[in-house]
Amino acid sequence: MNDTVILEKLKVILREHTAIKVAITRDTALLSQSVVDSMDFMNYLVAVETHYNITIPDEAIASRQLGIIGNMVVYIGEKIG
Amino acid sequence: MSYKIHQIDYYLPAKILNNDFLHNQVGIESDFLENKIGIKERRVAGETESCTDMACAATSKLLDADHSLREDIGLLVVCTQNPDYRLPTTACLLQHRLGLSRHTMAFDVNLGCSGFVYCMALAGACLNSGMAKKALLIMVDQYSRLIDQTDKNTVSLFGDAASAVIIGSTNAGSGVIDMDFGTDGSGAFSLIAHNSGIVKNAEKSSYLYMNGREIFKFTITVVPQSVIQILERNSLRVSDIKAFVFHQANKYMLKEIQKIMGIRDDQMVIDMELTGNTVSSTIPIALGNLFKTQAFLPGDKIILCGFGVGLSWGTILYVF
Repeated sequence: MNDTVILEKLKVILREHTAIKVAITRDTALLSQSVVDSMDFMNYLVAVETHYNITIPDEAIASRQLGIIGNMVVYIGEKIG
Repeated sequence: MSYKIHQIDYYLPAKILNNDFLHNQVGIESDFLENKIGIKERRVAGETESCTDMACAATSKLLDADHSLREDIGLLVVCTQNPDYRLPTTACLLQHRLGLSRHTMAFDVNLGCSGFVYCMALAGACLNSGMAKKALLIMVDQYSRLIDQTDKNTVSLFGDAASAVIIGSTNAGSGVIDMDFGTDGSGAFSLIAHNSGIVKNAEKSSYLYMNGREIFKFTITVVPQSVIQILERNSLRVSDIKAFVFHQANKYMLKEIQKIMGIRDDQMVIDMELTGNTVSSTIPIALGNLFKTQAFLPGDKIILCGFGVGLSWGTILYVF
């Protein structure tokens, strides 16, 4: 699965599971730019885990800066091969 | 024999922890707590206030209003995770303090947010077997004793409370009609108070630990499944239910379940604004308030669902 497909899926997940109001790009930093609050971010992570059948450890969220959309795209790509 | 809820009362400690205080203490925005989490304030037990004190306060009015109750109650179940002592049980202490008959069967149940639904089932089994005419269920907890006051994840959510519910017989076809229960101990460490029992681990904090993401995932998966199973088994649809009274974990979680299940706003009971998440007392408190404000007609149906620490869950279909 290529990065563009993952990015588009993340946009869908964010629309369905959060109250996001801004356009999403690879550079969007969900938490540090206060694009979503902590509850919506948690909901987004759960939806990503469920959709891709992966587990995202808390440590990876910090060390890989997964609040940034582009980083999450890369992370998912690695996880699902 | 069918059984139903006869009376409900509850007690909240006097001390209030409001959102402004928490904002100053741990920096959480008041707006976020009120609008997203659904909590304006929560109560905290006094320094010397025990669970038996709170349980007595919740129960006294019920017993004083009907003097025959003390003799009629053959079963006392106390659900708590913060007993006054590891032994004896809080139920034994309360049998004496409440002046219940010496013939009362009394024991504790160690469950959290699913506790009320489980206790209803236990009470029903005892009533059906003829072991008791009436049962007194007391839910009481003081999570404030377990919480790190600087932990944003837990300090804003939980409140202390006690609730008391009298269960007795009713006509066939009303009261508790069907139940569904479940347990997934693989998630036990997602919500845990380490070092609170025999097992000690110096590397773990003794405060309440909650993996919010795991609990959220568990809840939005298990609650809809359990409720739908009960509905299907009874040939009911979501729209046939007058009120869904779920454990009041937080508003965000309930809204998510509501969205998943297609429950209308007027069906979904959200009642935690002035209490917070009071663990096993959330359903009795919400029910007690609901019974005061909403009229139910014979045949009206509600769904109760408790879920949480264990991980454990239980759902009841209740008919008026």
